Amino acid sequence: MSRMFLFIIINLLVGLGFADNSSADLAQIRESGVLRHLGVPYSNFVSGDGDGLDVDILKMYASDLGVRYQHVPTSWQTVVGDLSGKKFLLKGETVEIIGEVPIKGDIIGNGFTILPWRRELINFSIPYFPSAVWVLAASGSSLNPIKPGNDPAGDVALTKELLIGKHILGIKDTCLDPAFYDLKGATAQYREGLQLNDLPGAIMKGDYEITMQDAPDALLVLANNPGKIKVLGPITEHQFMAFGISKDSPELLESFDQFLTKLKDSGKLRELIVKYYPRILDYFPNAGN
Amino acid sequence: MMNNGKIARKLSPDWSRFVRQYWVLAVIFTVLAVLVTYLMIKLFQSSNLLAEASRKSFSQETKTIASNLDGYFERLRSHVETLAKSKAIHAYYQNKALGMSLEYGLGVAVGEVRDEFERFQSAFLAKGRPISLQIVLFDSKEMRVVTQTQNLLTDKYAEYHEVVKNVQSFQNLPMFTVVTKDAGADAFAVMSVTYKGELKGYLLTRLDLQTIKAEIFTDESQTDHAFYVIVNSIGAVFVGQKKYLGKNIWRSFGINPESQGSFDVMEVTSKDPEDTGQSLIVSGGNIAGTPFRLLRIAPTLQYVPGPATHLWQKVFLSLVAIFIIMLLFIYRSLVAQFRTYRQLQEARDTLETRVTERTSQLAETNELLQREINARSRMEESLRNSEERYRDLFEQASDLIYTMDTKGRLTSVNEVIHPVLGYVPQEFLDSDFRSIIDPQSRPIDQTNFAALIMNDVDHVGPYELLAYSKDNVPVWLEVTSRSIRKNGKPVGIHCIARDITQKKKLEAAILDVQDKYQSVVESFEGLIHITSSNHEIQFANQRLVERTGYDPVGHKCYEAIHGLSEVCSWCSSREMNSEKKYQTELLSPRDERWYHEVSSPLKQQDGSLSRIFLMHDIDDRKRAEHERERVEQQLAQSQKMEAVGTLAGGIAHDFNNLLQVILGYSQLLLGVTSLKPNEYKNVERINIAARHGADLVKGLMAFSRKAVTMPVRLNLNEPVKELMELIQHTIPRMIRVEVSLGAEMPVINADPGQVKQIIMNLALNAADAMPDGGVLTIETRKIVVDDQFYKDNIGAKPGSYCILSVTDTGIGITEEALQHIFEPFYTTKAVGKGAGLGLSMVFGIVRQHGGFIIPRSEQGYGTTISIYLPVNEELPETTPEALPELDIPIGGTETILLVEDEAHVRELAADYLQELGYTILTASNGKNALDVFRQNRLRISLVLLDLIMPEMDGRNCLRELLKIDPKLRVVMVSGCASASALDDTIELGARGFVHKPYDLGSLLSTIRHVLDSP
Repeated sequence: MSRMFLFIIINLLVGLGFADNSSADLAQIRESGVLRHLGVPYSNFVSGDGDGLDVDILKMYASDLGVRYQHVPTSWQTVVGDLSGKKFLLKGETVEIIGEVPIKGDIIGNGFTILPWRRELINFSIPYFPSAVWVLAASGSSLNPIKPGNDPAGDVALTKELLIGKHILGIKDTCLDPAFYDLKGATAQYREGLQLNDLPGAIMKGDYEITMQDAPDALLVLANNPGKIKVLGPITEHQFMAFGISKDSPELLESFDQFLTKLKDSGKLRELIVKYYPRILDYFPNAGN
Repeated sequence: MMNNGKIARKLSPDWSRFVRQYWVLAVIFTVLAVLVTYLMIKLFQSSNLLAEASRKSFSQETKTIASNLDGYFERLRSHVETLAKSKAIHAYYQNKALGMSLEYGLGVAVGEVRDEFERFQSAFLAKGRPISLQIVLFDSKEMRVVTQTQNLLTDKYAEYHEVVKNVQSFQNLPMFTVVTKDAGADAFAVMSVTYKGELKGYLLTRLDLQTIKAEIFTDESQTDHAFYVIVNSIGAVFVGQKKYLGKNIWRSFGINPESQGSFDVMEVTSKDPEDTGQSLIVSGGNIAGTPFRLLRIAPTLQYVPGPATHLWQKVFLSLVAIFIIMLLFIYRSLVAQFRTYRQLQEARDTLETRVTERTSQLAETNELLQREINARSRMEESLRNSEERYRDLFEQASDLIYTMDTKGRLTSVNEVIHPVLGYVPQEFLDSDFRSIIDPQSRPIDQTNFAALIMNDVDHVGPYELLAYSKDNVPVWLEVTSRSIRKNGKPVGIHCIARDITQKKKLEAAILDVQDKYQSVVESFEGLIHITSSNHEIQFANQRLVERTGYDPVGHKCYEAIHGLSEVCSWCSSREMNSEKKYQTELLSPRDERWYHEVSSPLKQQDGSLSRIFLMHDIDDRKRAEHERERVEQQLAQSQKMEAVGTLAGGIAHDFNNLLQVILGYSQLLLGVTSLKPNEYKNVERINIAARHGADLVKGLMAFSRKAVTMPVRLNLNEPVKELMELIQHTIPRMIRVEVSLGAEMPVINADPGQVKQIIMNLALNAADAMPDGGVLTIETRKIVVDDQFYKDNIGAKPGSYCILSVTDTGIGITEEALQHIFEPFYTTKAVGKGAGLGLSMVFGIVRQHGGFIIPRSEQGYGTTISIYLPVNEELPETTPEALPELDIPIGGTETILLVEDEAHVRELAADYLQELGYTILTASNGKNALDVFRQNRLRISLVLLDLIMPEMDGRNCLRELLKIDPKLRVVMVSGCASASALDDTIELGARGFVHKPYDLGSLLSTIRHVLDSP
């Protein structure tokens, strides 16, 4: 009887140890010997085949830490919760925490755009990749691209004006959710099961007229599909992508920032960026610097 | 010329003589010359063949290398074509067609194109080097570079305009073109880029010329003197010797650009400063598919054999030179010989000619001498005859003839000196003739003398001199002088003098008469002219000249003096041709002035008859006479009207009294109810007739200015406006009424009722003057009458007036009738159509208001009657208002004293008033009235007092009555009192007045009103 009680106590203790829902900071990562990468398959950031820009960077970081790299599959809808352990509702640009979820990873890296609402839940590393959100349409669309001026804000306004009365295909609660961009008079369209990578294909097929993309991904789409798709204009000014780190992991944040800085200074980051986004420098000449 | 020809023919034998002497030498010389020439020709032909073969070889080598270049450029063209059709370029234009901007999306396609270019550069090499230094995609619509590879060289083309414009005119592309620059050139392969069939731009590939050079030329083929170059279509070198790069090869070698495409090989002379004059051989070969040409250049001597050619040339030239020199020597010696012979011939000919000339001259001289001798003989004979004639004339002339020497001494004089001057010839000979000349004439005599003697004048005069006879009598001489010459020099003077003393006297007398005549003519104040019978002015005095403004002599008198185009109406041809004197008074149309003209006949020297006219201005006098006549007429008219007015006034009073009786009793009878209808009608007719009579009397009284007026402040426009409707209804419809009322009319003092009478009267008269219709115009305006107007219109006074004008367009009134229209009873209408008092009444009313009337008429056009009423803003004196009439006669019981000098009127009034209950006391004059009043003073309530009575008139009686009883109620009665007279009585104390003939009802009303008033 006492043995059984002890066994139960020990299991409980072990279970409690395993049931600890706090994020792992640097020391814990070193101790665990693995760096868990939360990466939603997206564009050339996380190809899904084991490579990608963010995959390469985190692999190098893991090697730098002396730990093993591990990819943790996740989705756009759960990735923030998987890092922060928070269950939340997004209302406009405000976040309402409604519960807790298990933490599944140490760092988010999948072309992750710095957004205000995300900052409320997690921290971001130093920006490493420039971006913006562009609106795309099929080449046969009656809509014509804007004539840009000298002012990005003006271009955004022109694009938004173009979209009045239109339906825009997006992915809910992601950086490609039309609802986040104050598109007055436009209607967000969603389709279940659709991923970020599927958006351009959907309009090229003719299922939808308009969608949105991060600029780097849009450049890839244009290069691979000349004459089939066209950029109407931006709905954001320049944005930045960074890696997401839990607010409970300040040491990890500091360490990773140092690593990224070293990568930039050595030119390796730029090299990796050009490898995966060859045309990025045409639009963001300082990418990786 | 003839001599030269002769000489030439004569020297021919000399030339043949020369040839005969030297024929052997000539033959040898000729044979040698022919032989040498043959040898030279043969040598030349051989050299030419050799040179030709060398040239062909040279050219063939060049063409071989050119064909190598064909392949190179063909490969190059193919590469460029492939690149121009690449997917990257197609994708760029696809994306551009979608409208994407470089900022958002199109940059991807641009980057892809650039990558494609760089792949091309790396892929296509020649001799290990890229064949293209730079590749550019140039948008020909936007004229800008879309993208380009990095430039391997330091210099850049900013916009590639130069390159593009070189090829734009060419249809077949790809195209090679060259652009020259300082000490160099660039070559491009240009390919057009199209999208969906539309030209979008050009793909320019800048060629590496070093590669081309290395591809083609070996070091051995290039030396400083013998080398290859490649030129473009205009000869610019872009591959080849450094010193020729960028230069135009045709210009450097003086090759005609038009022949550059057709020659295979040619020899040129270098114009290069470094080797000027060097002979070069040039061969060329076209590079297929390009506008380029490969040229090989080398010194001629090095490649084309010709030492023999040069030597032959030198020898040939030397021989030719020697031959020419020898010919020159021979020619010179022959020419010298010819010249000598010619000189000898000329000398001989000259000598012969001179001898002939001299002989003929001697013969002519001899002939002349003979002629002269004959002429002298004739002259001497003629001279003798002349002297004899002169002597006769001298002695027998009627004029004084004399001669003087150069000192003025008389050398001869004829006998006439005696009758003219009283001297005998001997007395004056050898003395100074000028001593008898009057000092005043001496200057002219001396001047003429000096002219004849010293100034080379032949003849002076005639001139006049005053001399004195032996008896010291003044004698006038008219002298004509001529100089006497010997050998051209004056040696004396010959004078003819005529005695003109009598003539001078006559002239003086004529002048004297002329002066007197002139002063008489000019002092005349009028116009004087002498005119021929056909009206042509022959003389005009100064005043007439001033009148016409020009000299009228020669002009027609009616035109110059009166400004007429034909003979004056008062002038007849009978008068112009008469020898009688005429006078007349005329009004000159030229200046509208009166003149008194007197004309008298004047016989001219040629026997023709003219007339002398004297015209004296009498205009002022005439006008004064007219004015006086007019004023006298106006005055007479005014006096006449005044007299008529007085008469009318006097008659009016008596008539009123008579009418009062008739009117009153007829009115009483009409009140009698027992009258039968026809009796009533008769009485009514009597009453109506009496009323008409009363109206006539009113008119007369108005004319005589004795009507009663009640003036008030009146705007003349008001009565006009009030009567318009009435006038419109009264006058016939075919007469149109027009009204023109003056603005801001000043106020006048006038009786509105009388003014209306005037308007109606004038309007009705005007309507009567237009039986067939017309226009009736009523106009008001204001005017200020000045002194001149006052002078022109008797009765007018200077001042401000309001004018009322009534105008018709009727038949008008004759001048004679116009003088009478205002007279009472004057009428031009038929009997029964009017009494003729209307205008006279108007006249009277106007005069009573202090105004005047001006009638104007023109027969056939119409008449205007203008009424002038003076402006007077002073308040009029108060005039008692007319009392309202009572509809039902109301009587009374009071006692009334009735004072009336006319018995029937007195009885009428007394009977009427008594019937109505009044107690009536009567009196027949003022004196009597006073007596009755004193006696019955306490019971008399009212006095009815006639104004005009004998012994004591109503006014004086009133005064006396009021002295007795100041509160006495008195009513004045009159048939012709003026407003002023009535005003007087009111001022004195009368309480009212009644006008005769009065209506009995109105009498009662007045009495009752006065009795009832406080």
